[in-house]
Amino acid sequence: MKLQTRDFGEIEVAAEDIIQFTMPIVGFEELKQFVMLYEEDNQQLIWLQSVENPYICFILADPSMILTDYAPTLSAEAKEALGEGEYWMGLIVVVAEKPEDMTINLKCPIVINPNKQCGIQTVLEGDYPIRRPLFGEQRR
Amino acid sequence: MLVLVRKPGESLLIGEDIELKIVDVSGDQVRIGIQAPREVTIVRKELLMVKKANEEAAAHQPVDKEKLLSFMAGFRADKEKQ
Repeated sequence: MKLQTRDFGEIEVAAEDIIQFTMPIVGFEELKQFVMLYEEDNQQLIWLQSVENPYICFILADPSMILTDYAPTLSAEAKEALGEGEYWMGLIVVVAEKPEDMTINLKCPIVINPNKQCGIQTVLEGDYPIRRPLFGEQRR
Repeated sequence: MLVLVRKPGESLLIGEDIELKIVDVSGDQVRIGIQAPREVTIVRKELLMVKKANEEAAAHQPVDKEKLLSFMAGFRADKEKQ
């Protein structure tokens, strides 16, 4: 199917590439379907494009690229919404003009179950920041 | 702030049509049942902050991916050097 997007123009996506959000992105509860857009040789940065709204596109970063020790425990509720399988986790990036102003949300990752083509945003227990500088303290 | 003591199974009313019921207490968790008119919005307070962060993340203009990736690659090189 063809998909209109603000950032990428018209793109072609397969029905099986569409991810159903079984726990919505907070504040975007009406958006249930997204596609993950990335370059084949680089999956560290992923564009999460809404199927239903061409203007909504989140930028996700692979946590392993930024953090060495990010392995949060998911709640039973989150696991139930995702079903069984191996999950992929992405951190929502807030993009800013200056790189040092960019932040990532460690508290509420997007979790995808590629086998079931479903995803959630979950709010983790514990002391994770909602806004952590993307490029760490050493650049500040 | 008004502070009241309640036991599991007991309720309190806010106005005439909002009821908060303490369903269960175990360890440091309290289960609360809420009966309220449909038009009353109920959210966990921390979710408001999440919502704000999400809205900010979605508000970006089209992003120069190459630039962002090169920043990240540079950052990673710094990290590996340490």
